[in-house]
Amino acid sequence: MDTRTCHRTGRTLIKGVVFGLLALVTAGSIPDIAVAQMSGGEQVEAYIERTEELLIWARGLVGETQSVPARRVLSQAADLHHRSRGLMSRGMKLEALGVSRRSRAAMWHSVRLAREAMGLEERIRIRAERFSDQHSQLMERALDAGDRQAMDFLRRSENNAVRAREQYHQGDFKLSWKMLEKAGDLMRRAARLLADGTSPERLELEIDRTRMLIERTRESLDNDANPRARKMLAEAEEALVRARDGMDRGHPGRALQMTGLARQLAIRAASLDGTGPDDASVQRQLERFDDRSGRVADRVRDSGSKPAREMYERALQHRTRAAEALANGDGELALRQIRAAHDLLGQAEDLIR
Amino acid sequence: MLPAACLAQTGNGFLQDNDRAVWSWDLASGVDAYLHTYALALDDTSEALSEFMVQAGFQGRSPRLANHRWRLRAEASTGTELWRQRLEGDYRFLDQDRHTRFRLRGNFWGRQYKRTTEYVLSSDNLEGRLEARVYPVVGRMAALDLRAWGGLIDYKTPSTLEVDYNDAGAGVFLRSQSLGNHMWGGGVRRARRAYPDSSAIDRDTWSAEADYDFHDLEGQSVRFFHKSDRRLIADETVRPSAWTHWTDFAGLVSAGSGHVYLEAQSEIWNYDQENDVYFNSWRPETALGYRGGDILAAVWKVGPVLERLDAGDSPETYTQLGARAGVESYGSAVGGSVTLEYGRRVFSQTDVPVDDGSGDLLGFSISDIYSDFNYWKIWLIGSWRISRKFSLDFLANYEPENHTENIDDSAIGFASLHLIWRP
Repeated sequence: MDTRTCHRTGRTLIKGVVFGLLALVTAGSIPDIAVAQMSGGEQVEAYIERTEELLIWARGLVGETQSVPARRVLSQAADLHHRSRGLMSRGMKLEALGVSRRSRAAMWHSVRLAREAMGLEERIRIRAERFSDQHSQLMERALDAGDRQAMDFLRRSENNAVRAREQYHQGDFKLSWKMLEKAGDLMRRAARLLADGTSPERLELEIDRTRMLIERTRESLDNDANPRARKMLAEAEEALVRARDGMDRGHPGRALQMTGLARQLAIRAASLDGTGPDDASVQRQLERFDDRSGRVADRVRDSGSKPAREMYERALQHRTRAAEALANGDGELALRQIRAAHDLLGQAEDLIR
Repeated sequence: MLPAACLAQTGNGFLQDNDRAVWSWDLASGVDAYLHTYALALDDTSEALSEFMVQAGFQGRSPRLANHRWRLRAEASTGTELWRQRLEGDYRFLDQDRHTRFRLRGNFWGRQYKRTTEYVLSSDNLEGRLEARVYPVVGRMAALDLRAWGGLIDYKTPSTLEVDYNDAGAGVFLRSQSLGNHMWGGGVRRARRAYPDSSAIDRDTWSAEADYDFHDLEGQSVRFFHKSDRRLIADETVRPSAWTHWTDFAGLVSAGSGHVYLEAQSEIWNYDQENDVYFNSWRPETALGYRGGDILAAVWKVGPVLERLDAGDSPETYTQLGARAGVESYGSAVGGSVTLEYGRRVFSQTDVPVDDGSGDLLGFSISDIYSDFNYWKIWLIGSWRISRKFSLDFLANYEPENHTENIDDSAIGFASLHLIWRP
């Protein structure tokens, strides 16, 4: 049967499915004892006839999908049915009945596989579309960021998606679905790597923030500071050096890990010594911002980049708010504002780099 | 022949060089294996297929900071089952503010099966997709994106199961500029798929979608995606038209030294005309748990997972509950993850009255179409950077189901092991 003919008869097939299922239930509802008692030739003959009708109806349902496993199982069910007919014609009634029952069981299984496949066909289409969109976006980001590990994950996820598509074309929707799910998992790992900040600009920002934190903590520790805090801060500085080294050597993931460690150590050092953000440290951040923004201003203007200019202006606004908060005695708010100002200034620098 | 200015680079150079076009090539060899086990009558039927392959790839890209950015990859492989070719290209034009204004992306695959192949369907085929995007308006916050695409699959010998089709579509999207921790986007698209040999199942789809992504430096994040899709089938007597609504949510919140995670998904299908084959359904899935560990060593996560398919009276209705645990560690040389899930799916086993198609009940019902089962999901992934030039990638998935009816037992799995050389 060609495809066109197959679909032209769709309505008939769906009706067939209804009757097929009905017949299946009828078949399934026959208790084993009753079947065992079917020793009469006419009864066995009737049972086999009914199996044939069921196979025809099941073919209607299975024909609705492109599921190869369902078709394969149904084909084997038909083979069993032919064997039962052969046995019956040789007068082997009980054996014929047994094989016919196996044929029905296989047919039942093919119906289940076909129904499962119908749901998956469309789900795969929708998921594959989403996968393609997301993959394209992430690949662009990973390439721009030069993130090798994310790229590796994206390549592997894509290879998995290609294999999933091949299994789809092979009619094994369940396997295709699983492979597409796993391709999605790999892609999400790549997304997480990118989101966690392994891209050069975010990593640079993170290193800069950590350096500021270490500086602030060091300035807060006086000569009587807890020796453990001092030791921990020294370890934080060492971790930051290793982070920079990792970045220079092209290992952004490693650099991020070391930056995270440096940040944690600096925070622990500060908490051991009971230091937190004070007015003096915020004031130093303000002065540092002024130095930095003075250097960046000309470059932003010369670049002619509108986004960079807007980013620069937003940084200045946050700097102003930080100064206001400091004047009002709100050190925490002032610190948050000046941090945001530094972040925005860094982004403006990135845009003109 | 390569342009004189282009230099051969190592795999690392491919990503790092900012000022020059970079070309590189790689060679990979490995095995892909697929397993699908299911019962036939009283005997098990196992379909296992393993494919050994050798693949050569060649790729190039523009200077990373150029205004005309392009990327090209060509690869070809030969294996025990088939030959494959692939050509992938991506071109972007960026304006002076480094905003993408135009993008053209294409992917083409060729497959030729060997005579001895164990694949069931073995018609040689060509598959491709080409997409163009234009960004006419790019603001400080967002960019407007107009896109159009076309695609096809062309079988050398079409059959009932190897059906040619052509795709075409267009869409309008708005997407945030990725300068902050908040990213969002959304749009509408229209697509059409035509089957030259089976026009009854031609379909038009209209889709609207939106997404939002937030993350901070402490590792907290929120991800949301929703898509509503209207599918119109040419001949509704063959397959009814339908609405689909798909929502995806994932959140990660700091708690103690780690994070609490919540992943939730909802999928709704509403058919214009339900029948025994195509029925309305709602499928919610959730995973809730805790993720802890040290990024310098290993990260682990553990939690329950719940899934339900609510399909009304349909025998497909089920509830599934499981527990999932995993550990992952990615170092510079060796990395990988292991995830395990164990659970049980219980079907509603509702007796469903059957009618004769015109609404008259026939006095019978459908039950026990499906049997309950316990399942395992085992997922392994690993990579080993043996040296600067060699790496080994490993991936495996195995999911057995143990049903209350032995005849329904099944297992599905796949694995791949690839050695890659980047000279």
